[in-house]
Amino acid sequence: MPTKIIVDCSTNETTEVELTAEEIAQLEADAAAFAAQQAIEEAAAAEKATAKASARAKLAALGLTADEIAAL
Amino acid sequence: MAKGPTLIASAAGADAATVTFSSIPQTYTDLKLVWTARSNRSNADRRFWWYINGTQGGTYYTRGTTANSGTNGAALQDNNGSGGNWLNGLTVNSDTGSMFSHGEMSIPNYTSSVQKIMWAESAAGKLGTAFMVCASGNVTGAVTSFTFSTSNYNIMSGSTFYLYGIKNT
Repeated sequence: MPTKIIVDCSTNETTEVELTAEEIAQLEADAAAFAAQQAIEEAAAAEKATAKASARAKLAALGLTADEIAAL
Repeated sequence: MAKGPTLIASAAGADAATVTFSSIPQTYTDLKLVWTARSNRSNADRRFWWYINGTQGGTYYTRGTTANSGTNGAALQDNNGSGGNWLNGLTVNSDTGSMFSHGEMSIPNYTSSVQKIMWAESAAGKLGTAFMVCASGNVTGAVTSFTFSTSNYNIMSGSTFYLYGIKNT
């Protein structure tokens, strides 16, 4: 069972107790929320990279050199 | 003349999921937290969560940046009320064994009845893992407790946490 450390600042007493079911659920929810957010960010980054590659290809087809495209 | 910071309490990590400072005295103007920490995660998830008064993620509005993007986390963290109460610069168990991240957080005017603001920075001692974040929390009561959490993993033994109070009288 996961535990938590609590330092009571009024007494300087430190205790270690087991997490409640609600606290465990919150930790799991935090992890799930981050995973979802990370997936969104990775998808957006992939989409942007694809659009960038497409734009470069179109510019090359118009006759721009690689140096000219890089200078944009 | 400013007085302090004064050490209020300290804690040592002992393979526990969270570390909490409770019953924080209301006799200072500002709080400062300083820590060295390491998580037992084996992946690159370097988030170090915080909770004020046990309040969960939807209350916090944050803007942060990491030294680089990629597997260490997004280059820019922007969470408006969507669970952004974390720093991204935590050392994890796949890092060099003796390495512990270092971080600091300031919470000014922590006894006030208005929303709280926080400023924090953390570095994991590995390239690309320095992180800074500013945040506001819709916690309108005085800050009476502060919790660190690694989200489903443990804060490893050898981690240390210090809570300081600052006042100008």
